[in-house]
Amino acid sequence: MSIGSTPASAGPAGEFRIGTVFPQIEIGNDLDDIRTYAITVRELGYRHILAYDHVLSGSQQAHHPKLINRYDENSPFHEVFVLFGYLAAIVPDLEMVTGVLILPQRQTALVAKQSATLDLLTGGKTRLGVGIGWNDIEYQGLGEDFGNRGKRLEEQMDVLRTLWRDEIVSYNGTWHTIDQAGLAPMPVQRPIPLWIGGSAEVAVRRAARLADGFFPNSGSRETYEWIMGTLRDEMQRNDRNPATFGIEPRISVAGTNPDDWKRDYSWWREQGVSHLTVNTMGAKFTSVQQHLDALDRAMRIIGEM
Amino acid sequence: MSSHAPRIGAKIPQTELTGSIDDIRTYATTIRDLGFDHITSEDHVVGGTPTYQGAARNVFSNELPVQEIFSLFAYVAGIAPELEVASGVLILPQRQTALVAKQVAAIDTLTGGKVRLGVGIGWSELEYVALGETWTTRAGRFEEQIEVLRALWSNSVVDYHGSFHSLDEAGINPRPASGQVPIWIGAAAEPAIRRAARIGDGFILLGRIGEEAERQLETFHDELRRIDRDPVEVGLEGWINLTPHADTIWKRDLDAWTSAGASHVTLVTERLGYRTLEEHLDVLAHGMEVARSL
Repeated sequence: MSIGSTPASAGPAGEFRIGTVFPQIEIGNDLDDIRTYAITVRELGYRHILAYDHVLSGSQQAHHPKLINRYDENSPFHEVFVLFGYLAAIVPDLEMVTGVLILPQRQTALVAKQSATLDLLTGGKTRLGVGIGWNDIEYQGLGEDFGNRGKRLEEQMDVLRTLWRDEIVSYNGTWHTIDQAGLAPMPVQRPIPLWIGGSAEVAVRRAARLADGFFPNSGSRETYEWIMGTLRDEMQRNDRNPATFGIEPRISVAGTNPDDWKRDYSWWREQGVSHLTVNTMGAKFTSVQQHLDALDRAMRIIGEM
Repeated sequence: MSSHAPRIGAKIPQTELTGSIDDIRTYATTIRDLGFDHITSEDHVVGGTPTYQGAARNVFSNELPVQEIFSLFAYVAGIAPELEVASGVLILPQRQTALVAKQVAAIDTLTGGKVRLGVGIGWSELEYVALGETWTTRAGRFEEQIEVLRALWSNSVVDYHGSFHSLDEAGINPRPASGQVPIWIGAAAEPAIRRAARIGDGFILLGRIGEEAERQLETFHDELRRIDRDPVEVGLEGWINLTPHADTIWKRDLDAWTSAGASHVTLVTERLGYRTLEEHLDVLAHGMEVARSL
């Protein structure tokens, strides 16, 4: 199994990069708003846009209390590959990052193809964060098995990297059969950086073993310390070099103040993380301008440090 | 049946471009400036080699570059928002229905409703295998998929339990602004043509105008009569090859499609000997002049 060429994911010479979480639950469908958002975050100095992924949502009413998350049919999610294809035309210098794509509910070869096209559209600025999700209703609706998603994800990662690297692929795995076939055109990055996000211990260890980087979900300082320690231990056990492994935490503006941002930012920088994203959702903003104002404040505070 | 001038589009000749994004940008913005109504793309996810030994030996070559169709359409929506995007055709049964519903709805949002989903069942078993879908059930699955697509586009929550789909009170968001995306069925064989007449919002006749096409059109109209469906409700799209130095034939074909009641005509420049992006665009400019002169 191959390990991507990651400091690529951390930028040239491990340069630290700050991006934003696309506020898709709150931004709405207005194209001017979406364009204004993308162009302004670039002007503010952000280097990438990260988007969450959901294909289907279950009805909260019908499934209550089965659903364990606040998202329901009233929560809009712009489909990630379509959104990023559009944004690549608007802001071709920004990196597009899934954080995370629920990989085991999608067809591997199609994810390989859509990521490869996106990588060409962005000129090699695509990073694919993957995870297993939590919503069995979504897996069922997409016709995929929820029960084996963790194991299948590992084989999918191997198939993705093989398809991005080799022009002709033959693969006979537990869940994948490819008979001398491949992608054309090939992506710019061969392979595209493949990161993992999640909060379970198995996700953290899997990332340290197989991924090019990790997205910690929001949590307490103790959780973050545990994640950093677990990543280090697991990488050591697998003979991997932490210096080439990316880590991208999120700072949320909701319910926090600039002193919190400064403290979190300093702490993460001390941990030597490669990336950071600023999330503006959940702060009861009602216009794209409020999201952008918050991103402006966050970037100025970071700039002063 | 109307004999209004059809809308004129162009099929992007990706297999004869370099695979570079600059070519796609130039192609899309140029045909937009030339006044084309829509850009059509074919759909391939993987290509194979001639050594393939599966049941259906026809293989789309892995040496021919084709960008993933929905990613391409999203990009076109960003650079040439005036163009309608049309799949010609998406191989529907090799993809997950709910994801197609989701991605097409996203394109509908980004194009302000300028998307037509042309669908077909394809001919390349190898792609079905690589995508983990069953080749032999493709026709039966296809009709159920169309039903599920329409249900997901028109309802915020869907409960559906069919032979191939199971949706448990789930839905997509955003949905298309109008609650639907037109589904056009690309067909050449008789059962597929009858299906297009029965359940399509439009029919893409995947043959060249001539005797065979006349028979295919007859089948189409025969089925419409049989089920008592008004032809005005169903779109008709024909493709015209812009064969080099054959303006009189282009003109004849355009006339033929117009009198056949075609609502859309797509001009094709691929596999006709044009070698560069410029040659493809020059002949399209000329094709548009001819279309406008009618």
